Amino acid sequence: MSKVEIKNVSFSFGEVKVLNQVNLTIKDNDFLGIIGPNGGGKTTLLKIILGLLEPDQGEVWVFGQPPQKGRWQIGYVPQRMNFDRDFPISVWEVVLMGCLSRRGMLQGFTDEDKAEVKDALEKVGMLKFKDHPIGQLSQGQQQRVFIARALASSPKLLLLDEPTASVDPAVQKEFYSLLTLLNQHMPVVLVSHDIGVISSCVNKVACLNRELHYHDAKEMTQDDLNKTYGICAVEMLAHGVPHRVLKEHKH
Amino acid sequence: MEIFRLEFMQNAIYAALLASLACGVIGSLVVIKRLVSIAGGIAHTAFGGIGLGFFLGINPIYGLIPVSLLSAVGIGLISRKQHASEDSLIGIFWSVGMASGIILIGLTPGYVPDLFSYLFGNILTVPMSDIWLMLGLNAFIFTTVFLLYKELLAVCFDEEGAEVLGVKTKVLYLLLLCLVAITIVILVRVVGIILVIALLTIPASIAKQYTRSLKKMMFLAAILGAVFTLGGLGLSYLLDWASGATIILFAGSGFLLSLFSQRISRRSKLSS
Repeated sequence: MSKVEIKNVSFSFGEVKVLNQVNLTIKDNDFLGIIGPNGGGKTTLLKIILGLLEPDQGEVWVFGQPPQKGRWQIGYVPQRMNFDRDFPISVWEVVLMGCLSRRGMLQGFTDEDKAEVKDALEKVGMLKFKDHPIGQLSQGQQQRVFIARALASSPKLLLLDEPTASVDPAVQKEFYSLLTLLNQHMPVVLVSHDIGVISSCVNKVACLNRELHYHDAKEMTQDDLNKTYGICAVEMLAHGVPHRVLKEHKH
Repeated sequence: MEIFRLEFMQNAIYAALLASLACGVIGSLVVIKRLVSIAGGIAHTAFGGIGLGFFLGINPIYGLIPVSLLSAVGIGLISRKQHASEDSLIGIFWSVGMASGIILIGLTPGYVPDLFSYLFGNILTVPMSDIWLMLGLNAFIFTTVFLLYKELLAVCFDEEGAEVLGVKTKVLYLLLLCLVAITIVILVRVVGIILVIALLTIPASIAKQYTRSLKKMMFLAAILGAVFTLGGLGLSYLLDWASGATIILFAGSGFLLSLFSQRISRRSKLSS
């Protein structure tokens, strides 16, 4: 069964068309990387999947339901967020927030929730920081906490927005091995403006710049990149993890 | 100590304590969710309600309650529309609310009421009936925040994330603004509409520097609020200054002091 189904979706901000006739299916064991330039509509597409934005046209199904009904089963890891360094919330409380997906208003968190939170923090290696205020952690550590929050909601799909935007390469590598591990149990969708993130773990690639070009195989053609970025993309590989994405090509 | 046996002084102390509790709990939420300018907008719009109260010949507080709630919901709903600029909207509500208040009071026949005590507060004239009302409103605020604590924390920290997790964030955001409106009603008697923002932000901002959880922040902010309102009240009596303004200046000095002491302790940590 497909987890997410997007059919002919278009979206505009005022006069500006951000997405044009996008089709996408996310299946069981997908590890999908969605790449594209800034302003290419990546975050908009994620927000449509999450039901935070309504498409102008087209259909979106999340676990066979409209996004606002099905989205609680998605573990969402947002882009770097803007909160004060002294925001009064601990790592533990941030991850506990994930359990809101199964607890209604006026219901307290249960021991089962707490066990889930502990488990999630252990998986991302952040349990020893559980009492730290989130604002005092490094970017990479914060990222792990937000993954733990997504895991604590027992998701059936993981969705990450620019997860490695401000993390150094050594931490990135560790991060990808964690995602590969998680991908054994659920599909993972990763969005980035950086072609370098298409590391060895991704098994499908989609290029998004208003229109979406989808590839089952990991290797893209030069033509696809040209369509998405409008320039030769070789330079963009230079700062990524050393890994060949493109087939050999002639200039 | 003779002074504290007088009935008006006892009422002033009750009012100060009730105001501190509300400003500790709701002020903390206002500060972490960055609602300070929205709270200012609601407070000044609510002046229209005081004018309405005078015009209808009822206790102005009963005009203040519905109008502040309406302005909270109004600002909250319109500011969430995609094309509205929240900033300008606050300015419009702010000035139109105050203007309607002035006109309504002008239209009120006979005796011109003491506007000053609603703009800058007069804690020494709070009647017992208003104390009971403040107590009831405080009870409502506490119960709501206690029951919805985990959702309110989530909405303040990461509204989109909370929404994806199934929290009704729009309803909670409006509810939070309504709690702010109720708090403004409680604070108006003590410091007046113009100075309300100080009691909502100063104790909570100091508390934020010293605490790591929202519960503790609320608790410390309420204690600081009590210190500022009671201390300011005492000072105003000794100096024969206006009570509301003295309370605010006292709280403001407290804020500066905590800022400096944080700087110094940070520096000594660096040098050691």
